[in-house]
Amino acid sequence: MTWGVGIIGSGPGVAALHAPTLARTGGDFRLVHVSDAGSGRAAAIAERFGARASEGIDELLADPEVDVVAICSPPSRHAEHVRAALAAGRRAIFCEKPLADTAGDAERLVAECAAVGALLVVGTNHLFDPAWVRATHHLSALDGRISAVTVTLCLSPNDRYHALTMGEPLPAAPPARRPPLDLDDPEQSAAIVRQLVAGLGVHDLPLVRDLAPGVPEVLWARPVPPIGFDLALCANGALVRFTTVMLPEGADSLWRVSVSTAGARVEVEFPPPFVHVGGARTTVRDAQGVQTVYPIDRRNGYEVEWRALAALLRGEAAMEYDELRADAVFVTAIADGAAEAVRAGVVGERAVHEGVARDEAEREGAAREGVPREDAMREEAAR
Amino acid sequence: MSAREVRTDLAAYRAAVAELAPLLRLGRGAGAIRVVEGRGAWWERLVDAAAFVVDEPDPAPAEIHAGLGALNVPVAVVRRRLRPDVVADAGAEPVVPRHVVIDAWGGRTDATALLRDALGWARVLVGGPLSVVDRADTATATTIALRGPEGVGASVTRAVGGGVGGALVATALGPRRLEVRVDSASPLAEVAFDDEEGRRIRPVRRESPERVALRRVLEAVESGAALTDLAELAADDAVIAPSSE
Repeated sequence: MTWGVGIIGSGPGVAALHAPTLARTGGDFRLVHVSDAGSGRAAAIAERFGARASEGIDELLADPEVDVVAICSPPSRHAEHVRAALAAGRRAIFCEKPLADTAGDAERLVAECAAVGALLVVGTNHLFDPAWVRATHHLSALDGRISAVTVTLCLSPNDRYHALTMGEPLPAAPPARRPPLDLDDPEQSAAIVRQLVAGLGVHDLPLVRDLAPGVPEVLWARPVPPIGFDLALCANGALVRFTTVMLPEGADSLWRVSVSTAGARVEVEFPPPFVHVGGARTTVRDAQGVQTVYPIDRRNGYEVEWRALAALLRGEAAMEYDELRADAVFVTAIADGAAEAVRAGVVGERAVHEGVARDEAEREGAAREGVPREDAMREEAAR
Repeated sequence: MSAREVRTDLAAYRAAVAELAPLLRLGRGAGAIRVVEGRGAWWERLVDAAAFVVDEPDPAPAEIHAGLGALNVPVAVVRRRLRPDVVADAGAEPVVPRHVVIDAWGGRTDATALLRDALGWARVLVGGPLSVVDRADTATATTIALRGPEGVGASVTRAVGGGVGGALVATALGPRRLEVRVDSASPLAEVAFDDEEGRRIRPVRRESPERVALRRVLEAVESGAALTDLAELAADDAVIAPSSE
């Protein structure tokens, strides 16, 4: 059976990611409807895939050919759109991360899905990457607790990767009007760090929870210029260091998760976002110094997350609502804790340097992308 | 020019002396270079020589380092995870780090020195002295938030595991990235630069660390140039000093 997919949203995450990724699911899914909030970009995407387009969400939710609602709208509207899909009687939902803004809302949302038996997949693509599954199997087989997890992201703009999954670029979105970003302001700085943890850290924090479940305690957090954060937390006795920097230019994106135990160090290097040249590369270095590099799986997390939804639809897998709920609560707890730590911290002498660096980066980013850097960050963080 | 004498019983250094003939030869004269093992109170053995090589020193208290500042002879410090030639390679291309991360993993017996060397790489990649912003310890791991010159941050994590030795990955995050990988399972460190043009890996350094040390200290003795190894060691030891390690 082929299920029809209606996607709410019209950003690069739709045009360059989910819409073409559906073609990788072996005929399980096809795009039938795309909606936007009035930008007109849904029509351009729909035309490329022979789908219908509409403005707003009502027409899409009423479309009889839509079997699966994919929510790829701005993160702040995810919860609202999941609820709208449930209210419209939809029972198969793919929601981009994050599921909701707050832990409480995420819990309620999962409960609402569970109450009506709606199938829900959240697009935490790294959690679905076959390499991560292999790494966790390897770690499970080792005798020893997780002592430390480190996550390092150094990201270049996504648009260089969009070009690898689209025949032609989409018209740029109109620039949003927001006040300029001031990281010297602890409140703004805290808000940005929270947004980054919730929107970008959400890729990998479910992996951290996979290894170190429990209530996370944020030990410290600080902003990193031009846009990024550095934080440490403790969960289940393991120390976690999570650092991310988003840059307006530079090297290929680095996206690395390292796990240390008494018996081995496992390093998982994920490919840049959007691209489809296989999953992550896993390297294990054991106590004797032997290093094992596993072959790279042809599938990546983007493809497997859609296949996971197909497995749910076919009844081959069971919904794990508690896992979704726990992941969301874990991430939002860390996002809230990080914001609080930044708010309470003294930016001090860093502010001068960061302010200069940020200004430079914003100028470069705005000139290159034609949109304010903050908006680019918001969009990219959500992918 | 007559050969400078080197006083050592350590096999690796005796081999290095042979590899530096005719510049060096074994001997115990007053003008000799003395090789000192770094275990225990190594600083007490820095006597009766024209220059010293200290091999893998255990961390020393700040007051000891302060006293060593009065030493008026060249001292080369051998830290195999932080070789000076590899450090030089790390400076081969300009890198403007936005943040530096160091991840280290190694056995318990060497854990403190591993952390100290990880901090050394943070100092090198940040480009100056570091101050501790915060620190957290568990029984098996330590993570430290640091701040370098001009506010550039560094994050150093050391986990205890494996047998003897360990591995270290140092990464400077910026438009041009620098990654250094050091692993006790291999004498060959890897230094790589990444930017929009791709990845460039520096040629591996194949000179033994003992030969590097003897060559450097000999050059310092002959030229009168100062070595900064002890000062750098003191700076890295100072970062871990506040702990109970």
